[in-house]
Amino acid sequence: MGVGVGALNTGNNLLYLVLGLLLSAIVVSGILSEHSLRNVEVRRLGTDAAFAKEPFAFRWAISRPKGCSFALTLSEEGVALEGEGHLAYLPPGSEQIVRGQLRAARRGPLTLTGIRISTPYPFGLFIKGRVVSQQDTLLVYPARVAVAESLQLAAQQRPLGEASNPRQGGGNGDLLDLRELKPGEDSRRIHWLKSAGAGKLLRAVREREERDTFTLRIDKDLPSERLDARCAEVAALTQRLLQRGCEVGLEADGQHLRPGRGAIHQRRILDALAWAGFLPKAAE
Amino acid sequence: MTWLAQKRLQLLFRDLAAGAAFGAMAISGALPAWVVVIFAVGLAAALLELRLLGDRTLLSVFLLAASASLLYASAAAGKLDLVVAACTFAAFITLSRIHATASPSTDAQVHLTSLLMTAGGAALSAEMLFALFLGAFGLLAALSLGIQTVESKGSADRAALAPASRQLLLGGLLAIVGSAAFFASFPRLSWNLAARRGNRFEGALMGFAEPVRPRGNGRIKNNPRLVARIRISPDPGIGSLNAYWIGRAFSEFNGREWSSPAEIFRSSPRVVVRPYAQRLLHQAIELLPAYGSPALIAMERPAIFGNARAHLESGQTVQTWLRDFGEGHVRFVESGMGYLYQAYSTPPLNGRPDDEALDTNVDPESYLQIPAGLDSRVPALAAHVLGSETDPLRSAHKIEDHLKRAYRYSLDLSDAPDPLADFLFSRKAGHCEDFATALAILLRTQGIPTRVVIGFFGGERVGDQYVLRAGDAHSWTQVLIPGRGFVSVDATPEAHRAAQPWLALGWLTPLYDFLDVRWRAWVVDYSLKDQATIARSVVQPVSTFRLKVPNLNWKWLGAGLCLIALIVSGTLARRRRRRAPIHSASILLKRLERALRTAGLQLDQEDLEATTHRLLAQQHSIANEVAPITRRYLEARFGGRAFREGEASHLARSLERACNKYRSAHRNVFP
Repeated sequence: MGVGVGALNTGNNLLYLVLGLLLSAIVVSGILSEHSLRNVEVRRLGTDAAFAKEPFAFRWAISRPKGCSFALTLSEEGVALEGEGHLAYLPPGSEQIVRGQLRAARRGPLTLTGIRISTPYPFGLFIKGRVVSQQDTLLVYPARVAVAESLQLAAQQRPLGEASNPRQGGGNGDLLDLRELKPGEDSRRIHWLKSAGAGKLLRAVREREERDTFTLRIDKDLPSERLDARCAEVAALTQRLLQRGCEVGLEADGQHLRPGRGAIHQRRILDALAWAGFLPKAAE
Repeated sequence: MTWLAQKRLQLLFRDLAAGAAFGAMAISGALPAWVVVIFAVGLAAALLELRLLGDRTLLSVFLLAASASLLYASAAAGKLDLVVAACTFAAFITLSRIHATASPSTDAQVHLTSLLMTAGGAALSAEMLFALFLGAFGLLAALSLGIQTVESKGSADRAALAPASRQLLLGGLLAIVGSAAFFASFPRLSWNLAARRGNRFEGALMGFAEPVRPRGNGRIKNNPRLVARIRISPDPGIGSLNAYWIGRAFSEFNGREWSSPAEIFRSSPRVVVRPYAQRLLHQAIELLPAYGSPALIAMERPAIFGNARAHLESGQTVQTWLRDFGEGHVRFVESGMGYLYQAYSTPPLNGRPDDEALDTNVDPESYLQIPAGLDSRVPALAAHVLGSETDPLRSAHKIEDHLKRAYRYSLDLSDAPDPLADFLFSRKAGHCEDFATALAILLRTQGIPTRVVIGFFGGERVGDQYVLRAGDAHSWTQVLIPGRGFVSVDATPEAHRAAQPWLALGWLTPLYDFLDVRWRAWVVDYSLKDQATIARSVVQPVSTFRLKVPNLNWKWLGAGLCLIALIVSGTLARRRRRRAPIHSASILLKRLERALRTAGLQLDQEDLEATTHRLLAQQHSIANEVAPITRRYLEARFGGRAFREGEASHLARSLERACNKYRSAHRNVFP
C-alpha cells in the first residue's frame, strides 16, 4: 500500500516498477498456489475414536498423479472441528497419509461434507484453498471427565436383583480354575477341599463369575448442556465400572443396551451416549 | 536435507535479498561510506552465521534509537539529506533484524524493511543497475519466502527442495516479467509526472567552469559514463560521428592554465553565438547528470542555442533561460541535474569560404597573448618547424604534424612548474591539453592568432541517437584564419582523441549503453503520454495497422533461435529418456485384452486373470488357449521371467487367431 501511495504521489517510475513487482508477485502467488492444488486427490481415513473437548488424531490420504504440491493444509470443511493436518511436500504419484490433531467442542454425530485443502505456497502471503466434497459422519464421544464422587458412591452400593443375591456370591456354573485367594477377597469363594489338599487358600473361579451389574440411565428431556454433561459422567462411570469388571448396561434416549463388558461393549455404550439427544424422536 | 540445513538456506536467501535491496540504494552513491561499510560488515557476519544481537531486544532497541537520533541530528543540521537519512535508518533496522534470532516474525521484518530499502533506492537513483538489484531482490526473497512457507508445514526432505526451488525461481522470473506489464499498464495518475532522471548524488565529471590546465590528470579518458545524448536532424546515419563538440574557448594563457576574460551578456531564452547561414544542423541535446556543468555544448561551429529545460532535483522540469559569456560560452540560468535544449550548428564545410567567413568579426590581437617568462626554446622550436612558411593554416598543419610525429600521447603525468616546456622539451609526452596548448602557443610565437577549445570529440551511435561519454572530453586548438574565422586544428594523435575505455570493459560498454538508452526511454521517462501512445496502437484498426520490423541483426537472431531450439529439444529428449519404458508384458496384455474384448469374451471391469478363471470355470472352448498365455504374461510381468525374442508377439498372435476362430464360429452372435 505504502509503495503504491508513494508511486502515485511522487510519479517516480521506479516506484511504479517496485509496485509492479509486488502486484505481479501477488498474481504469481495465486498461479503457483492454484497449480499446487490442481489434481490433488484426497480421501478421508478418519479416526479411531474422537472424544469431545480433547484433541484426537484424524487422518487423510492425499495424492497427486502428476506434479508436486507444497505446504498443504487439510481440514474438515463446514463442521465444528478445530485443527488441521499439514504436509510440507507431496511428491507426484505417491499417496501420503496426513495426520491432523482435531478437536470437537461437544459430543454427537458430526456430518462431514468436505475436505478443505489449502496452501499458503509460494510466498506465505495469501492462502488459497479448495474443498473436495466427501460425505461422512464423525461420531464424537462424550468428553472424558472425572467420575463424580456421588456416582462413585452409588456404584459402590450393591445392586438389586439376582446379581446381588448373596447365594450367588461365589458365581455359578462349572468350575473353571483355582487360584490363590488374594487379601480382601470374599472368604466364601474358598474351595475348602482343594485348599486343604494344597495347603494354602485357593479360591474357585467359575464359569459365570461374581459380578456387579449396573444399568445406567440418562433422564429424558434434559437440556442440551446438561445432557452433554450427563453423558460425559455416564461415560466416565462406564469406564470405571468396566475396569472394575462390572457389567454395564445403558438406557438413554430410547436406546437400550443390555449389561455387558469388554472393549466392544464399551464402544457400543459410547456410541449410544454420542447419539443421545440426536436421534429422531419416536412417535409418542 | 535436515531442517537446520533448510533453515540456513532460507536465511542465506533472506540475507542476500536484504543485501540486494541495500545495493539498490547504494548504487545511488548517496549513502555515506560509513553506512555502506557498516552494512557490508554486518551482512558478511550474518552470512557467516554470526547473529550478534540474538535475543538481546533491549540492546537492539537502544542501538536503533541511538542511530535514529544521530541520523535525525545530521538531517536537522543539514549534513545529511532527509531521504538518505530515512534510507539509512531502514538499512539499520534491516541489519538489526538480520542479527536477531531467526524466527518467522524476524524474517517478515527483514523482508518488509528490505522492500522499504528498494523503495528508498527508487527515490535515490534512476540508474539501470537498480533494475538488476530489484530483480535480484525479487528472486532471492521469493526463494526465502518459499522455503519458509514449505518448512512451516513440516520438515520437507531434500527431494522437496529441488522442485520447490525450480518453481520459485520460475515464479520469481514470472513476477519480474509481470512487473513490466503492470508497470506499463498502471495508470499514471500523479500530477508529478517527472521522476528523477539521474543520480543527483554522483559527482560531475566535467567542469567547464574550471580553467584548462596542462599536465592535469587525464584519467577521465577511461571513463565510459554517458554525459550527453544527441538526436541530430538531418540524421547523419553513420555509426561514429568523430565530430568536435564545443563547450567553451580560452584565449589567455598564464603559463600554467588557460582562462577567458569574464564578459557577461544579458540572459535570454535564445542565444545566437555567431552569424549563421541557411544550412544548419539541428541537435536535440540532453545533458545527463554526469555532465555536471551548466555550460552548453554543440557540434562544431555552434550558431544558436534555445528552448532549454532543466531537470531540477525535486523531479520537476522547468524552462530555463540562457546566459552568454562570450567566446561561445553559454550557460543555463537555472541550475539542474540535467538539461534538454536545442542547438543549431553550421556543419563541417570542407573549406567553403562563403560560410566560414561568417566568423571574422573578432579581434586577432586578443588571441596573440603570450605568457610572461615563456621559455625561449618555444619560439625557436616554432621557427625551426615552420621554416619559411607564413600561411597561417599551413603553418598550423606543419606544427600539428610535428607534434604528432615527435611527441607521445600519455595519461600518466605529474604537475610541473612550466608545463609547456616540460611537455615540449623534457617528457615529450602529454595528453590533449598539452598538445592543444603547445600548438596554440607555438603558433602565437609566430604571430598567428589561436585559442584553445574544450569540449568533446566523438559521437557514437546508440539506437537512433548519438552519445558522448566522459572519456570523450577533449581539448584542441582553433586557428584564426583571415577571411575564414576560427578553424580547428588538432595536434592530438587521432587514436587518442575520443574515449579510451579499458579493454576489459570495451565490449561491455556498448551493451550497457544499448540497455541504458532503453532503460531511460522505457522506464525512467515513461509517462502518461507513452501510455496513451501504446493504448492508441492497441486499439488501432487492424486495416491500418502496419507491423514495423525493426533493424534486426538476423545473424544473431538466427543464432538465438537455434540456441532456443537446441535447449528445447534437449529438454524434451531428457524428459523422454527419464520416462520409464513400457514393459513388453504390458504391451502383450493390451493385445490380449483387445482380442478377448473383440471376441466378446472379456467383460467390462474384468482383468485378464479374472477372465481366464471364469473361462476355465465355464469350461469354455477357448479357455485352454487363454490359460497358458495368461500364465506366461504373469510370469513375465511379475515373476521376473522375461519373454524370449519374439515370444510375446507369437503368444499374442496365437490368441488373436483363437479369438478370431471363435468369433467366426459364432458369427451369428456378433454383428
